[in-house]
Amino acid sequence: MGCPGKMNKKITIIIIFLIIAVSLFISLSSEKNNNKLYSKKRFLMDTTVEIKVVGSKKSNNIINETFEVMKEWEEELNRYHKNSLVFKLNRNSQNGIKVSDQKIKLFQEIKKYAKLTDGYFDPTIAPLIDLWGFGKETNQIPAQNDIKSALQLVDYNDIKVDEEENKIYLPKKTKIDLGAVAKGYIIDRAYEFLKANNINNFFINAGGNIRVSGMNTSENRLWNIGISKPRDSSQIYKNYILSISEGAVATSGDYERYFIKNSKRYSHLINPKTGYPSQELQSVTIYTSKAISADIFSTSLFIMGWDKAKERIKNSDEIAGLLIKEGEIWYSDDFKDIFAN
Amino acid sequence: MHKLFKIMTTYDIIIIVGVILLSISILFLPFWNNDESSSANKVIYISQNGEVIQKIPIKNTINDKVLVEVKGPIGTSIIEAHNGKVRLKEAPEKDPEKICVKTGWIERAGPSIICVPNKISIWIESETSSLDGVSW
Repeated sequence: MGCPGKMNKKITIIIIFLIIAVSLFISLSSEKNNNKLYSKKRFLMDTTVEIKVVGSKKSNNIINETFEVMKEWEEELNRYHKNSLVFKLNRNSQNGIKVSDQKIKLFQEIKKYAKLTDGYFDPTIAPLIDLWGFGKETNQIPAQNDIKSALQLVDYNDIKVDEEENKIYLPKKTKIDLGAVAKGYIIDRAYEFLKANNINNFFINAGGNIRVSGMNTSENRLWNIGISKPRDSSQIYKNYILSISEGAVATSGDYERYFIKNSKRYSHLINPKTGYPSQELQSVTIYTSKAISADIFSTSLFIMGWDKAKERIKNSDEIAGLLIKEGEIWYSDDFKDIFAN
Repeated sequence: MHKLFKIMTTYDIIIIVGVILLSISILFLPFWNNDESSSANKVIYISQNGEVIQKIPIKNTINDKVLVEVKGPIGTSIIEAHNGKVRLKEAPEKDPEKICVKTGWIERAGPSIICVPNKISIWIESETSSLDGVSW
């Protein structure tokens, strides 16, 4: 007590150490807060959409904003929404409908994929979907003649995209349904939105159509994805867990939407060439770079059937896949590369 | 540095080391919490229109059957949770395909039951699940 100068020095030193300790604590704990997994679910596109983001508390707001972006696109691409672009195109677009650059690009991509899949993906399939009652959920087996006349309206070449005038044209009776592409495309929009907001570790799942970025750094691992068993969709294949850090996974199966008549299963995956649902495969899972591509290829390869789908996957560097039919599972070598174990 | 130690007493050093240890131990608190919750407390989530309307801890379903009625645009759906599993037991008459009923029971994190007409989703979440999602 007799030396106040010495005492002051001591207090200063203790305060300095305290400041160092507190700032060390704050910096380390904030780093940990930036590494938490935030997850939200919302009912969009007739399914549950889940977005998981590794980040800080702010991530919740960004997830909500991402859902808004997805909702806007859903309203544009759903042909049953009366204000949607697709509704307008189906109603009256012989003289063309003016659209944004982004939508011109979307329709160019749609036509590109229709060509790439040899027309097994064809958005002008709407009359057939309606005939089978999958749009309005009043399922029935249509008369052969009705299928024949609906088939005449199915041809993706009828969609005219005028990039100079920014217009899209459809012939009078042609109707489009973007069911095989919209989810994938909208997931890609969500992906771009999150990336633009400097989010790098995230997982988007729209009813089993998935696109991921980075890692689940909150658990220091890649993103893990299960694949549903077609005849017991409450179960997954435990040996086929996928582990990925980039890319998209989509599955198309005959168990998503279907009806059974005379013990025969009729799924919503209709072959645009025959007018009838494809019945050979039970499910197709595709892994590729973008969700739009995973969505379209899983649907069109399901429709192609076992042999053609296998050939297609083997000959493509861009898609890896797993096919399931009664009693048999096949997957490509590059699909094996993404198995977790 | 030598000078610094000279003016510090043993008590000073005890205080400094104590503060540092305390800071580090606070840092690890969240991990201890996680360890506690990793004893697999699974919860059934029922949501409508994207909003979670009910959570049922799995342990509540082991001995008792839990029935939940959810009213939606086309009528009432009945959800049944029992023995650690959950299913959509009854869909409204107006549901043409009743896909949600066909899904059957789910008992683990990953898959979900979706009823499009009534906008209902049911799923199970577990703190310990290493699966981020299911492609179906």
